[in-house]
Amino acid sequence: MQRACILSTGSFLPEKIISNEDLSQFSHEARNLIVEKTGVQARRHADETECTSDLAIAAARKCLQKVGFPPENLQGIVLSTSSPDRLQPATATRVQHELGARAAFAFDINSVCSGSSFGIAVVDALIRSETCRNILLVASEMYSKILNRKDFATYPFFGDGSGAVLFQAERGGSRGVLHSCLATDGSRSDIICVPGGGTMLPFEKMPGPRSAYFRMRGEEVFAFSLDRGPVIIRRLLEEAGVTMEEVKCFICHQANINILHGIAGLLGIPREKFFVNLDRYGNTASASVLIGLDEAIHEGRLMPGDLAVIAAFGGGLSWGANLIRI
Amino acid sequence: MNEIMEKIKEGILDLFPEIGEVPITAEMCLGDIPEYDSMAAVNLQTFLEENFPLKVSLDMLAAEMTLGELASYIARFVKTKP
Repeated sequence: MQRACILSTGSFLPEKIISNEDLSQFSHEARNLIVEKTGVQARRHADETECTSDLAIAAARKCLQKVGFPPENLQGIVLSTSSPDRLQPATATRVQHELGARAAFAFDINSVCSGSSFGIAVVDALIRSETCRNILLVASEMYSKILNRKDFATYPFFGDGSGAVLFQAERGGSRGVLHSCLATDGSRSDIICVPGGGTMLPFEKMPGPRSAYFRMRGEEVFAFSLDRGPVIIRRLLEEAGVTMEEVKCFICHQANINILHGIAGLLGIPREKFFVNLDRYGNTASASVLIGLDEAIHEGRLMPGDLAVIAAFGGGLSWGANLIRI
Repeated sequence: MNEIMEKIKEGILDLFPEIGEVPITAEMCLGDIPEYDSMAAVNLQTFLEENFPLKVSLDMLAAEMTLGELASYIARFVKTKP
C-alpha cells in the first residue's frame, strides 16, 4: 500500500504588515482589546491587485523549488480556499496554468478554516487509492477582501496567506499521513458564513453590501472550538494507537490564542508543544495549518521521523485532524 | 432628542440585522439586541463616534444601558458642544 508522504512544504505571506495600531477605523480603546481577545498583534494584507491564486502560486513555487520538483511532473493540485478568486471556475485551475503543471488535474475544496485538514485526507485517499503518485496541496486565503473593515468581530482577526505541501507516494517505511478524522455539524451552518452572492441569496436580492461580507458569531465559534478541538485530537490518536506524549508538535488552526491555550489545557499538553504564528499573521483560515507546518519544519520544530498532529475547526461547522509522520 | 433616537435606531438596524421584528424602544437595553457582545459594542461605538461629535467609552455601552439613556448622554454632549 502506498502512503502519502511529505516531500516538501512552502508558504507565502504578503509583504504588507497591518499592525493593530494601523486599524484606525476602531477606537484606541478597542484596538487594545485585540491582543487580549485573540493574541493577534499583526496580520498581512495582499496588494489590491492580487487575488487568492497569486498567493497560492507563490507558496506552490517555493514548495516545488525547494526540492527541485518540475511542475510538469505534478499529477494533481488540490486547493483549499474559502475566499476564491471567483465563484467559478476553481481557483486551482489558474494555479495549474501559471505553474505550468500541464499534466495535473486541479480542483478546489472548501471547508472554510478546516479546509486543509479535509484536504490532507482527500490527498491521502487519492494517493492511497493509487489514483496518482504525487499531489500538491495548497491552501490560500485572502480574507482581507471579503471582510467588512468596520466589523470589529472579524476584520482585526484575519490575515492573508498561503501554504503548500507536496505529497508523494511511498511504499513501506513509517512516514506519511497515518490517519485522519473528519466531522461536520451542518445544523450550525449559519454560524460562520458569507450570506450573499450564491444561489441562496443572489446579488440582486441582497438587502445591502453587508450581505457580501464574511460574518461569524464569535462566542459560539469559541465554544465550539474548545468543545470539538480536544475531542477530534483524542479520537485521532486513539484510532491511530498513538499517545499524546509521542506527538512532537501540534499544529492547530490559528484562530485565537485563547482557544489554543484552552485546548492544550483540556488535553493536558504543555503549551510549548503547540505551534503559534497567529500573533504575526492573524487567522489565515484554511491556510493557517499549512503555513504552520512549513514554518515548524523550517524552524526545526519538526524533524524527519517526528509525529505531527494537524487539527482545524471552522465553518460548516466542520472540524478535522490528521496524524503525519514527517 | 427624537433625532438622536432615530439615528441610534438606524444604526442598530444596520449593525444588527438579526434584530428582525424586535421593537426598538427607548426602554430597550443593549443586551436585548440579539448577539450583542463585547465585539458588537465596538461596532456600535464606531457608529456613534462617526455619527455624533463625541467619544463614547465601551463602558458606556454595557448590556444594561438602555437606548434612552444612551440618547440622553449623546444629547447632553451635543448640547454642550459649541
